[in-house]
Amino acid sequence: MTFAARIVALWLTPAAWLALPALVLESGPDGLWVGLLLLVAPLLALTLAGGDAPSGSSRDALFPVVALLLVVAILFWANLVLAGDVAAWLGAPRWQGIAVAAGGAWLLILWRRARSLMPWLLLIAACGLLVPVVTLAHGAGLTPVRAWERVASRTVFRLPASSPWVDPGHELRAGRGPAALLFDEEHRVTAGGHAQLHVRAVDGARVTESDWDLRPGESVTLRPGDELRWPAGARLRLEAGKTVPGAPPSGIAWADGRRGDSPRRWGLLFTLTGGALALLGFGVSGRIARSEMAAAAAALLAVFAWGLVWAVYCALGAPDIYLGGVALERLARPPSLPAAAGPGPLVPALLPMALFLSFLASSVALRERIGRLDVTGGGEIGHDLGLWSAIVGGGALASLWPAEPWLLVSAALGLATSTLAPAVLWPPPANRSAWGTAAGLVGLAIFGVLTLAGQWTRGSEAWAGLPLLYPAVVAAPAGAVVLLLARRARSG
Amino acid sequence: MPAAPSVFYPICYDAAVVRLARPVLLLVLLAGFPLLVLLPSDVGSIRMAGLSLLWWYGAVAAPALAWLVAVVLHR
Repeated sequence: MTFAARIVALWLTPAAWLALPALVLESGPDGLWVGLLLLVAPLLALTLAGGDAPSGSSRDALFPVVALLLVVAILFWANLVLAGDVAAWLGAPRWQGIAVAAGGAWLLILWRRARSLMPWLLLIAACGLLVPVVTLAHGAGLTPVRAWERVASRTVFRLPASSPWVDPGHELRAGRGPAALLFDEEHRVTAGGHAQLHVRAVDGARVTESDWDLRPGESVTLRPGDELRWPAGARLRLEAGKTVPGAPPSGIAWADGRRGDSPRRWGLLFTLTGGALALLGFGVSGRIARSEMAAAAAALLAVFAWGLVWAVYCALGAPDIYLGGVALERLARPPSLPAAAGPGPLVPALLPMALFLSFLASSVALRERIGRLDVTGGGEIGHDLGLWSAIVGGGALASLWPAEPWLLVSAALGLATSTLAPAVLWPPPANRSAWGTAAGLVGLAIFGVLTLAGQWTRGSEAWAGLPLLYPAVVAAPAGAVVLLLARRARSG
Repeated sequence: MPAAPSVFYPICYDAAVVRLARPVLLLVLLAGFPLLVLLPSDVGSIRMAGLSLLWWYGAVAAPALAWLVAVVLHR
């Protein structure tokens, strides 16, 4: 159980496991592909890991520690961003969510026996995930397969009457919500308070921009193709029964997904499997027992199944989750879930609690992972108060600015793939361990350059644009070439 | 005439082959998903018992087989 808990906590930080239902909701089969990768990539890493840990001088042992520290820092950042987003979505100031999550992780640094708490944190979190999904399933009265069938047969996703966005008191841009809405059918928007709206209407080749100054109760009718923008804090009421702006055109389109997106799929496969190899396999020695493997695989499978089922029941019972595009934090409490879950605050509070506990478990597992690489210090680096205070504090500070948590997780795994994964597959000879550092530095440099280039240029969706979308596809092979040269030099 | 005594031969396997088979099988399972998307005539969209073939593969068959490969072939 401890091994399974460690693997789940390391690999599935909240920003990763909550991204699974969000991506399934957003893009159907593409999200399912990400889920499959999140499940199979760690299994692949565990089947390949477990040999002899690479040995070398203490100087050469420093680079993996630094590289993994960078990866872990980005993972902390991603999860603290999510904590802020969830707090804002639940109606609290963003900084409070960040402070609670970062404070909890920091307190566990002080407690040296926090490791023993990890399985229990995850067990309680699992219960917090299970109850809401059972409640939604019970409310829907459908098995997951029937629920999927119902969603995949929908001709359109409509705003339910229970949606908070048909209520005048709810702010439209709660959490990291949309800044603009694109309407697919005629829709009357009513101001809940004083609101200044900006409407961009496209009529053939002609584009008209207009501003509306609405008093409480006044409304404006938008036509198909119109785009609405509004200032933060504006309270607007949408029409129940109308198409959800930002939702897929239909359930059929959602279930079939997009065609011709192969480069992204393969890029993600490379990045996630490499990331799993580095995060779970680098420097890990010893044999994994079959029972440990079975428990870890079962736990990963359970999270995968939960993610799919949660996405399907959300699409069925809370289609307003699509409003303006799917934001990760909305999955923590789907907008229409309180109505489906019945009266009382307990069920809607369980998922945010599960996120918090899962983050605490992940913070312990990630620190412990770094500690296991500390061959000379006996793992003491995993408890270094100054170092981890800086990482948690830095992550908390950075997360005050909104970012996309899943993109940060992908970046962290890409960095791990580029710097450490080649050395797991082709460990350098013991007398040439410096080549491992050289390979990692080459991977790091290429990853950094391509990531920066990807920020400044508009990446192409075709194969040619893949290195800018997933820099690890170039950086990791370059590192591998350095390691293969080291082997050739040895045999020569 | 007395029957010849049965001779049992233990099943021999090459541990190295099994060790290599696990990651290869897992990669094949993963690769099956994008390849199913690429099949002509939208084969992945054909619905069977409620789910489309693509969803049956990605949500049920591949995860279950991945668990089996990881655990049963584990040495």
